[in-house]
Amino acid sequence: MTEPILSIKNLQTQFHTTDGVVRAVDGISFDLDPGTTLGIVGESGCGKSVTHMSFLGLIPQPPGKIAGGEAMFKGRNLIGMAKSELRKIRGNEIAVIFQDPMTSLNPFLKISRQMTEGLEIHKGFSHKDALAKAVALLDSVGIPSPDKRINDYPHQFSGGMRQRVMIAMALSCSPSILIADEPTTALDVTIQAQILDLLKKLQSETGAAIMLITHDLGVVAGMTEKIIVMYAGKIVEKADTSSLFSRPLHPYTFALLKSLPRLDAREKEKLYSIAGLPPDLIHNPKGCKFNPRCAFATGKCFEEEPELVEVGPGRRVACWIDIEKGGAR
Amino acid sequence: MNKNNSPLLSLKDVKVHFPIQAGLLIKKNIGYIRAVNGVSFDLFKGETLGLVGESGCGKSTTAKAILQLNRPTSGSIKLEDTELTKLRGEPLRQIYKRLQVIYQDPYASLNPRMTVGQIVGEPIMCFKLLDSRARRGRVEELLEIVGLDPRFLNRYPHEFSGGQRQRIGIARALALDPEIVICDEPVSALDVSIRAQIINLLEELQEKFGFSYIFIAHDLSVVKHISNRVAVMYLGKIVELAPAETIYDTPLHPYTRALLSAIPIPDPAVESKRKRIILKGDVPGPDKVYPGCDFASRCPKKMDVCDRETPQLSEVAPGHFASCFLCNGK
Ligand SMILES: Nc1ncnc2c1ncn2[C@@H]1O[C@H](COP(=O)(O)OP(=O)(O)OP(=O)(O)O)[C@@H](O)[C@H]1O
Ligand SMILES: Nc1ncnc2c1ncn2[C@@H]1O[C@H](COP(=O)(O)OP(=O)(O)OP(=O)(O)O)[C@@H](O)[C@H]1O
Ligand SMILES: [Mg+2]
Ligand SMILES: [Mg+2]
Repeated sequence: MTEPILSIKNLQTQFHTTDGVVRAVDGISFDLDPGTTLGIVGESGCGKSVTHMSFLGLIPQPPGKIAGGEAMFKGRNLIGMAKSELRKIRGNEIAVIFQDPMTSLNPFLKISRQMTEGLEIHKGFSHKDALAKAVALLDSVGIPSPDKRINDYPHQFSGGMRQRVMIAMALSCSPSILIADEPTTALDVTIQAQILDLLKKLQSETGAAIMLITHDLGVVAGMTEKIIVMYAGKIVEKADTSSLFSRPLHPYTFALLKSLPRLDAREKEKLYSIAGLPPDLIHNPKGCKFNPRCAFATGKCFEEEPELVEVGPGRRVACWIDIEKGGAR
Repeated sequence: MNKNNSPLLSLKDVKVHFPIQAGLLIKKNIGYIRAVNGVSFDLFKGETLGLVGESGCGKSTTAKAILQLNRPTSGSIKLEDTELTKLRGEPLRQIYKRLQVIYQDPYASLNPRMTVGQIVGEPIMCFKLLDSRARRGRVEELLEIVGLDPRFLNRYPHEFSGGQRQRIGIARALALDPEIVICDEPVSALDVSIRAQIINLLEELQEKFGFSYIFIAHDLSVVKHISNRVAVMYLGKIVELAPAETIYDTPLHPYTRALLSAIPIPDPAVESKRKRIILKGDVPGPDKVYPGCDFASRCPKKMDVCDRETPQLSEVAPGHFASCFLCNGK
């Protein structure tokens, strides 16, 4: 067994709002193994972004509060670490790319300046070396004539090219972890295919571990070794990618997979639809948070919240019901 | 669907060009954005025609041209025998009894200061079709049809979730018993777990009322699921049009092939065996004019002729249209 490069234990992040306490991340634990890709899926608002923003110190406090848990990275706990220490790790050993590159790129600075800064600060490069490295990085992510384009401003690039620039910047300090938070959601599918292809290629070259966050189950199917499914701030299922898709164990995963129209569907069938509304993180129902929408829920599901437990090799699920047998687990 | 009949709606070489203006005081046209650049297709009664393509290819502009919200620069749009592009005033207003639209954004498309009852009843009121009692009854009926509690009548849009708001938008579109409903990305803004509800609802309503859909989306999986025929757009033109299964089984245009191969399938066993066609470069801007085929700059199968001549959409097999020199000789 390899040691995980990142180990999250019982992470809890809350937001104190006028309407009440939002339990955005409600006690989640998972490991990220070196050199692998972990997918985190779940619908809007389930806590995917808050998860990594919590251990990277990016949660505004207040209204946010890390109420508990730890995040071990190379023997050190990122939770509660001094801001200055964390800043050395973020963008250097752990890099993030966000959905909208414009939120992370400064519109008033040339790409050259934005790319060389990190190299000079984190890696102690001279400006000349940093510039040469930046051009090489742009080249590696497929930007044509990188030596000229490096003097452009972000708005002079298309959406897909900006995302490549972000990836080049994220990789500039050879991070051991790359967090890609919906890196292709804003892009067209043919451009998405380019970017995902690029991420895979770069991973095989650098050996970085990737945390790939998305709501698109198609994207994780082809990109990841393991998957975490989140619902309302909790992990409801965790498995290796092929078992999750061939034998989903949580009713939410099961329903989500069945509700997707598939491009390769042979016959036209009515889509399976999930009843009810997305969860409200302030007014959680009693028992399992998925119970108002669950087709399998019975007695205990309305009383007690299930824990994420191991139910087979490499398989964990938080559900009282065995959906394959159709009875209690 | 009966294709022997004449089409309900027919577009012929429709163009919508937007002038690009420059200058501070005296505006000068310095070029055109060719948002829709020669689109032709027919829509038959009871069928769903899917319109797919990447951002900016002109899907919404085509929809707005049909609705006469963007007046076409040239070309013809006929609703049975009525030429829509020539209509003005009252006769134009009357077409909205037959032609309705559902928009992508359930947040922006509903007036926040109107109650659900007013929103859904508005089209009926505009045409003074029913008195206020009968209108209320009809609104309640419409809400029930789309799966909302009729008691929601006096609530405001912000009190509803995205999926519920989309249902309100659908109820309004149905208020006048239209023959054609244009759905412009009706599920793109919704949570994944809600999309199936809305897609199923649209299908059920079509079965019940027999109207035709033009279904616009960039998600080809959704479009393939709901459509009888699919038209693929690239830079303001239709590059391929065929029955949904045919588009998927035997795509002919290199762009359609790349688009299909780029769509991830939620199944790792299938994904590991798929070969992606990775296109180089980006979509060129719609303001530039190149000689030759618009897709040539990214096409993996480009030939010499593609730089010189522009391919035309032609029927390469019964019911299967493509605009590419690879499949129409030359
Ligand atoms: N600053 C904040 N104040 C209050 N609530 C917040 C704040 N930031 C996030 N939240 C809440 O925390 C929850 C989790 O948010 P998060 O951004 O992690 O969702 P997500 O899973 O990344 O969703 P998406 O797919 O839309 O990006 C949401 O319900 C959100 O409303
Ligand atoms: N009123 C307008 N004035 C100028 N240009 C416009 C106008 N409306 C649309 N365009 C341009 O026309 C092109 C086609 O736009 P359109 O909205 O039809 O694309 P679309 O296929 O619907 O894209 P999306 O998938 O992003 O909705 C784009 O380049 C757009 O910028
Ligand atoms: Mg997020
Ligand atoms: Mg559009």
